[in-house]
Amino acid sequence: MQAVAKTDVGIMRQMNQDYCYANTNETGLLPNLFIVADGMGGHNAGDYASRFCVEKFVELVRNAGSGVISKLSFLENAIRETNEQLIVKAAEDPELEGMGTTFVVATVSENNEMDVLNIGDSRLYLINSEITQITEDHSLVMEMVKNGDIKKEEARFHPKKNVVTRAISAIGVVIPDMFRVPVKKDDIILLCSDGLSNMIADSEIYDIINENRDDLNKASEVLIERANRNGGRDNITVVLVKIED
Amino acid sequence: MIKAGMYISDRYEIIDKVGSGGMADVYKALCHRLNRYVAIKILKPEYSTDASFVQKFRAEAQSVAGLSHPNIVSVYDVGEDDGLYYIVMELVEGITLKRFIEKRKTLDVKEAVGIAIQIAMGMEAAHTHHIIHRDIKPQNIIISREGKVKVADFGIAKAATSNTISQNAIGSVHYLSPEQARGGYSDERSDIYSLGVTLYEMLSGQVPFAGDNSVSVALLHIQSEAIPVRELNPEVPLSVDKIIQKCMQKKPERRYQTAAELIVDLKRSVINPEGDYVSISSNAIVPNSPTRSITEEELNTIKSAAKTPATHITYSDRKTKKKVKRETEELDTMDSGLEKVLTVVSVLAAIALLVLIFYLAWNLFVKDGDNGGSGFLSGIFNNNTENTGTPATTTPEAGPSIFVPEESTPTPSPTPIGSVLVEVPRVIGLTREDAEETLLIKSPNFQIVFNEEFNDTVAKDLVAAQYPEEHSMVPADKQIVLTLSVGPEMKELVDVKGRDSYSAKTLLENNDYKTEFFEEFDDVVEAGYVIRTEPDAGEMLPKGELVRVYISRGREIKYVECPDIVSRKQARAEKMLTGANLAVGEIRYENSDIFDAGLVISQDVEAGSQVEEGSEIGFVVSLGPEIVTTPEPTPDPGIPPAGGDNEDPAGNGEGGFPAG
Repeated sequence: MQAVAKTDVGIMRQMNQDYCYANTNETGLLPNLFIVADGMGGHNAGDYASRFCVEKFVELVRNAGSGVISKLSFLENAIRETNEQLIVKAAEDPELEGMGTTFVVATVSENNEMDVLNIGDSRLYLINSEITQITEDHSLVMEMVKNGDIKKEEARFHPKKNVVTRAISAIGVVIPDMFRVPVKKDDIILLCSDGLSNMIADSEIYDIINENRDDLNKASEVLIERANRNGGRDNITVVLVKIED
Repeated sequence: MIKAGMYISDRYEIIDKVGSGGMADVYKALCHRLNRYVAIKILKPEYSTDASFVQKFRAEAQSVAGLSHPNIVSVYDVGEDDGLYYIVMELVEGITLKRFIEKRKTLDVKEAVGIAIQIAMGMEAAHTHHIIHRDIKPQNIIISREGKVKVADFGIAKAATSNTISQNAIGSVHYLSPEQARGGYSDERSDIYSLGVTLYEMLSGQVPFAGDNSVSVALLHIQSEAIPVRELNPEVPLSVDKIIQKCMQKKPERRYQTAAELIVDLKRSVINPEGDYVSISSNAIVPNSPTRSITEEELNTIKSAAKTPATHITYSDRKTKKKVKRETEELDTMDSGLEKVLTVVSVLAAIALLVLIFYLAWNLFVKDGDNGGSGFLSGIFNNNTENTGTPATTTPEAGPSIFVPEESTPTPSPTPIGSVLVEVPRVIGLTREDAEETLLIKSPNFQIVFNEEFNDTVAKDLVAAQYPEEHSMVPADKQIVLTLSVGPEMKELVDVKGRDSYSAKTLLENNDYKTEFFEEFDDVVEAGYVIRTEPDAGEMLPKGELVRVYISRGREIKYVECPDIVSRKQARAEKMLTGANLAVGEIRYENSDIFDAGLVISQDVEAGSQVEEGSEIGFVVSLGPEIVTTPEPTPDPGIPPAGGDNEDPAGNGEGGFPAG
């Protein structure tokens, strides 16, 4: 297994509120761990939220004692605990009030099963002979698509596309979506923030990754550059994981 | 005794002892509430009964508990259980930077700068909360297994707002700032000095000032210049060399004033290692008294500080020392009690020695002649901070004479003119007037000549260069050439209008400008392209300035509510439409039995609906009831035919139509 993680402030933003984590080696009881978080909130709050949650989550995973019953429920508990700690932080500092973050986390087991938890509109894609979005955005536009108000193709350009309906935030306890997906050798997993997926169509993401299958680093650079060339309106974060044997 | 398996406050289960410090031991523990491992620092039982220790211990925790930063070892909890006082901290598994340097000898430049940036970020977070570390050194920096750099041991941190002229000049003597060595006021900038020393060690594998004993090291910090790190490790680029020099300025005013400033330059050094942008300015110098001379009050403070018996020394029992020695090898970090104790002893000794020296100097010179004496004293400091050629062979036993540069004579007698040689003082960074004054004090017969030059680093109107250089020995009537900066060279701002945001950013950054992007609606420029910049293209701008770039979001589409114009007079209806930012559309005329002539019968767009701003709204105007039988053979000329050519029925609408 190999992985790269890259984040870029983009063009329009002054600050990078995204945060990511990638570890192909054992992390606590998990065989590997990949996270993308896209923070929200004014001033330094969004920046703080994504970083705090990723670091707290990793710390919880790392320090967890033995006795994990199921990986998904273990991840879910860690997210809940992270959320609770964020609430405590937000209560301590009025400047952090209202902060929050999206959170998409994945881990791949030795028997090639991938567990994914998602909150918000960061995404996880599985790329093999095609590109499949595994996660479902918790966003207003996605609700509108489901309602039939707008078409899926229109969602990327909708003015309200930044409104998230679920997040790890100081407001309440989080309900993550959970997925368990089989993967196989040579599959590529992409975790990204909406700064990528809003700036590049899925088909183009597929083409870029497919052209650079053997060089994940190059693939991540091309993805970020393309997102910037298309306007770079938000922070761009890319984590690419390639399954080997 | 605290043993493995013991519970503290029914929450923390002791796993193992991992370290020992002067007044506390550190254990690895499992927090059963949150099911995670923590480090727990427990005040040694023998001190738990001492109220002042307890207070100190708790103050330490409280000062750090407010901090949460990835580059600082977090404090989770403070508590007391059955007379045991403890602090619960983040457990960081890794090695100290000291060990890391020892293993690697010298670090790669990028690696060292990366570590320095992380330390500086931790420091910045602490400084923001007015917490000064005062003991930044590689032994207190942990590199975790994941490669995170964390600053530990705020053991002697104290809120910056409290009075810190101290008897507690603690801090490892190799990393101690000159003001700490003097026992004077230390602040955020003292940490910056220590970080400079740490970076120096990372890159050269050695500390800048080494000596036979702590006292001589402390003195070197005060008076000596370090060998530039570049001479020890040629891999070190110019920028990093200068950053270290700036951190390690003797005078706090000349260092980076904040950790944030330091971070900016460190980051810049990664991108542009050989750039010459680190300016060690001297603008903090007060005119006429470029160096600070010691005051009587200060002298007394140092004196009394040295006299105060240092209680710390007495509690270093032998057992602790041994234990520490054995355990530091495997320790993550936490405390190094022995070192601290030794440091206290040696620093206090250094202070005592300094006091003696100053006391002698004071008696010898100050008491005799006002001007001459204090001039001499400031001369000492002057040379400490600015004389790059101070011999490094100082031993504390050498007494006051080691401070006196051979050339400078403490006699206040007028300088003789002619072939007598005088030393050229440093005037770089001074204003024209101050430079002249400084030179003329040295020799009233210097011939001073000015010229001007562009300079990126020295501010406008300050001296950027001098010839002959400082410390040159020249005839008292020598011509001195001073180059005044006229500020950075101005460049015409490149035009990026009409470019896409990506190429605009690339072009501006390639032209050495900083950029900030904004979006706004624009009716003309297509979305995603540059509308304008601030400053405007073609304006003269120094390099490195910020350019604000405005990117079009395309034409703004606004929606307005369509007003209800039915039953209004035509002219009124048209005003209502234009007043709502809508346009008057097609007007049709029909007969109506209900509406009087000239009133609106119906409108094409429903009242209250949202329409795009500027849309044309058509409506139907009544011609009054249809007249079936006409008494007159010809129609009234006042009534226009439907859609007719009558110029402006609206303009004078009120009386334009006969009513009914």
